[in-house]
Amino acid sequence: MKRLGAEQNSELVTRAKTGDGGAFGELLGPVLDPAFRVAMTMLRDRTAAEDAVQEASLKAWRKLGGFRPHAELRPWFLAIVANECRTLRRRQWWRVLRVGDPRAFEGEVSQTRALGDRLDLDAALDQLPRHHLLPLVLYYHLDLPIEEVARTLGCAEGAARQRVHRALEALRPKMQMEVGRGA
Amino acid sequence: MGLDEKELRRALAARSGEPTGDFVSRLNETFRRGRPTSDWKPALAIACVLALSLASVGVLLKARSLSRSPHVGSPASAARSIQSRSPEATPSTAPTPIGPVPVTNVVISAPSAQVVWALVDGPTLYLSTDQGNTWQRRTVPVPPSGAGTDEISFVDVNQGWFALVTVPMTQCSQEPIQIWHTTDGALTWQLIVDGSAADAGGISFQECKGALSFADAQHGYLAAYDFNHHPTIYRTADGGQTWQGSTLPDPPGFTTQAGGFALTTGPVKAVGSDVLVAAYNDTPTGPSTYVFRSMNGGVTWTYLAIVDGTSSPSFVTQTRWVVLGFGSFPSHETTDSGRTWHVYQTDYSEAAPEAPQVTFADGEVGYATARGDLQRTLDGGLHWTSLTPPPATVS
Repeated sequence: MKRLGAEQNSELVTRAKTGDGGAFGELLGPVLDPAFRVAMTMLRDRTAAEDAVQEASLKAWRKLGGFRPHAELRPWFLAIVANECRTLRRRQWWRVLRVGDPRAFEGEVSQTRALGDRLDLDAALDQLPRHHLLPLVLYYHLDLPIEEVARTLGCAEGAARQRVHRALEALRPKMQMEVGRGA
Repeated sequence: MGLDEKELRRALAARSGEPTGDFVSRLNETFRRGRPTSDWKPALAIACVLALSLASVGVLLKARSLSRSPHVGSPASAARSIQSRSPEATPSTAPTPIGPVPVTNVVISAPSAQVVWALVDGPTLYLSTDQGNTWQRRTVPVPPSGAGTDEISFVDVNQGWFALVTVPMTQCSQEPIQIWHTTDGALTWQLIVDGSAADAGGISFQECKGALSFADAQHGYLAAYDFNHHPTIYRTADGGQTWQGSTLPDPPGFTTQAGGFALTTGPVKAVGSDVLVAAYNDTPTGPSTYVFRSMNGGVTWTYLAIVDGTSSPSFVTQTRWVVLGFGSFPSHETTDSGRTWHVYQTDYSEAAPEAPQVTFADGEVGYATARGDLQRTLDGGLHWTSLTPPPATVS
C-alpha cells in the first residue's frame, strides 16, 4: 500500500483545505482501497460500498478543516467510512438486508465438512452485529496494528484489544484465537 | 468447529473487494468539480428566503391584479400554493405498456387492490390503476435526494404525500425532511412541512427519518430513529400539517443505550383497529426484529412480538404477517400476531440476495420489490408474478 510521506501529506492537506480537488484526490488515493474493503465487508454490496465511500469522501473533505496536517489520515478516514456504513445499513433495514450467497463457495470446496465450516463461519459473520464486525475487519482483514485499530475505533489500545476479543467471542464462542499480533 | 485465524481471514476476504478503476475515476472527477459546501443548510435557507420573497411579491401582484376579488387568501396559504409546481412533464393519461428498462430502486405504495404507485430510481413517479400491468407517468415536486431514502404514500389515485429525506448527520443525530402533499394525482404539489433546517410541523430536526405511511386522508405515520435513543413514531390527524411523536418502549431483553444500542424502525401500518410497526436491533445480543402495537392510533405503543428472522415482516392483516425468504432463509408466516411462526410455502423467487420490500394493499394483493425487481401476488403471498417495473424512459 502506497503511503505518503508526512511532508507530502501535510502539503496535500493544506492544498485540499483550500478546495484543491486534485490534491484531495491524491491525498485520499492511498486510503481508498482499505476504505472500500471496510465498506464491502460491512455492507456486502458493491453499489452500496461505492455509495458509502463516496459519501464518506465528501464528508471527509468538508471536515478537513479540523484535520491536523501531520495526523494519520487512514484511521481518521476509516472511522468516517465505518460510520457511513453504519448509517447506510441502519437506514431502511426493512428494504435491504443482504446475505452472502452460499452457492458462491460450491466450486471452491470439495469436502463437505470444509464447506459446512465455511458456511457456518460466513453465516456467523452475516449475523454478527456490525460494531463487532468492524474491529475484526480492521485487525484481521486490513492487518492494521492494534494502535491504528484503536484510533479508528476512537478508543484506547486496551479497549481496542478487548473489542477484538469480544467480537471473536460473539462470532464463535469456542474459537481458539488470540489477539497477539501487534500487541 | 475448529476455525482458526487463517479461516477468519479467508471469510473476511471473501466478503471484501477492491474498488474498480471506474469508481476511482468517478470519485476523482467528483473531487475535481470542487469541494462540497461545508453545510448546505444555510444555502437552502437562503434559497427558501428567496423563494418566499418571490412568492410574497407574487402574492402582492396577484392581489393587486385581483383587487376586485373579495377573497385573496392568507399570505401563508398563498405562499404555499405558489410553492406548488406543475410536473416537469405532462403526465400521460392513457395506460402505457411498460418496457424492459433496468431499474435499481423502486418504492411502492399500494392504497387499494387496483391502485399502485411506484417511485422509480429518480424523479419518476408512476401510477397504475390495473395492479401494475400498465403505468402512467407522474412527477414528484422536487428532485429526490438521490440517496434512495425518499418516501411516497398514497391513499388513492389522487391523494398522496412525498417525503424528501436527505443527508443525515453522524449517528443520525439530525436529518432534514420535507413533506409534500398532492390531491390531484401528483399533477401539482404543496409543501406542507419544511424541516430542511429546523424542527417543523412538530417533527424534530433530530433523528433519521424513516418510512412515511398514511392510513387515510387524515391519519399518517412517520418513523424516526437515531443510534442512541428510543425510536419515535410521529402521527398526524390533519393530513400531515402537524405531527406528534411517541417513543417505542424497550422490548423484553433489550435496553436502549447510547453508543448504537438503539432500535431502527420500519414502516408503520394501520390494520383494522391496530397500528403496527417493526423495529430492529443490531447489537451484542444479536440481530432481532420486534413488533410493536398501538391500539389508540399511535398515541402509545406496547411490545407485541418477536419476529422469526431479521427481516421486516409485512403486515397483511392484524394477525397474519409474512416474511419473504431470501438467500438461505425460508419464508415465514404467523397467523396469530407473532405468537407462533411457521415456514411459509410460497413461490416467490428472489431477484437479489436481499430482503424484498413487501407491501400489501389488502389481504390478497401485494407487491415485493428488491433491487428494481417487482413482483405481485393476488392470493396473499402464495404465488408471485414478475412485473416489469415502470421504465424511466416512458413519456
